Amino acid sequence: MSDDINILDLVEFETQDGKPAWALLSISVQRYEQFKNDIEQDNVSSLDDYGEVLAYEVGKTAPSKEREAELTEEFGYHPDLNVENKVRDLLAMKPK
Amino acid sequence: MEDQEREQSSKTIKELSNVKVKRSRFSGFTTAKEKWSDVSHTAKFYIYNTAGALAMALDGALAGDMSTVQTGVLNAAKNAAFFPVRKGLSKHFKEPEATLRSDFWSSAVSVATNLPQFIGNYKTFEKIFEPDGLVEATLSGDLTRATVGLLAVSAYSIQTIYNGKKLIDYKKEKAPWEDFSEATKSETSLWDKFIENGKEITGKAIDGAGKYIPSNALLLRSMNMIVMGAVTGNAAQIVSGIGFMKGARHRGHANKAHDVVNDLVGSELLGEDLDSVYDLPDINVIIERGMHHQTVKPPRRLPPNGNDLN
Repeated sequence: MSDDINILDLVEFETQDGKPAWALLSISVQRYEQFKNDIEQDNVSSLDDYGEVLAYEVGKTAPSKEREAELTEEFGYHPDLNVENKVRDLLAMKPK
Repeated sequence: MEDQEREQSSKTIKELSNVKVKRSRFSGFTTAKEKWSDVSHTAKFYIYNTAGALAMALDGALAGDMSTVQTGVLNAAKNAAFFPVRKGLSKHFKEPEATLRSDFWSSAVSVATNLPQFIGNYKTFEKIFEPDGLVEATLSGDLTRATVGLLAVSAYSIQTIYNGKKLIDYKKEKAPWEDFSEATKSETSLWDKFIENGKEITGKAIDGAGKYIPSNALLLRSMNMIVMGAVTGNAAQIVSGIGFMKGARHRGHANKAHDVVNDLVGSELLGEDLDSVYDLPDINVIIERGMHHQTVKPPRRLPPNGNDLN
């Protein structure tokens, strides 16, 4: 399918020594389902197995507003899409 | 210096390995092969806005807020609808470019106006996932697959817009207006062609097709295509839907189409707004309002005879 456009995903995680961290990943559409499944199964080992780690920061659970602006400028990061929750709610809707 | 780089690389690998993911969320689309900083402003606009518009339209659908759905659809359509014109695909149409641009907009706007009826149609939701065969995921409530499917369709749409190569041979189908150009020798033959195509499309796309006469189903299909194309930013789908719809509008069949839609969904549901399907709004107003995330002004009404303004 699409190989010029990747999906951006912001991941909140703990490092192996228990520190909070976040990372912004660029993942191909084809790999994205596997990535999400592995998260559900608690089966993610290395983040860079799934795509390119564009940015990350240890010690914080999410990028600051200033960092978010930089990520938008550098990579096209979109901070407030919240698509998963919307799809979840749509799936819960009953057809008329 | 090399030692420092090696040390940093080793630290990075360690920090990103054996991690425990707490949560993750979709945060947009980006270019895979090119640096984002090297991408043209126009391409960024398409990519960034289509993602935002998708989320906005979903928001509106969930809240039952037609204004938000309209804005989302408009923004997605803004990215997608002008693309064929910009890429010179207008040569496939007989109408002047200005009419085409207006048509794209009026169709997107009109369908957005009537969107709640279509949002309430489960078949519409099926079609969001259809391109990836994820109907089953939708029906079974598989959130991961449904989300990924939706994002994949969106990514594909953006890809289509971004590269500008796949519009005509989308799904390796002949562009619908090419079929219709063969059928436009007379109005009768065009309508026959509509019905003929409607039977075929109905059979493939709509369960229980026997409930509808083929032209009803075709019109519904046209609208669904436009709506879904706009919601997902899929230019090919919008163009295909409009390609079907245009036949009715431009060959003097507006009244007949109007009756068909009335018959199909019931005038009490659509009321006066139904007429807007065939109206041509002021494109500048629409663009301005779409750009500023405002509710769309109702389009102008057609003359009483329902003939096309062209």
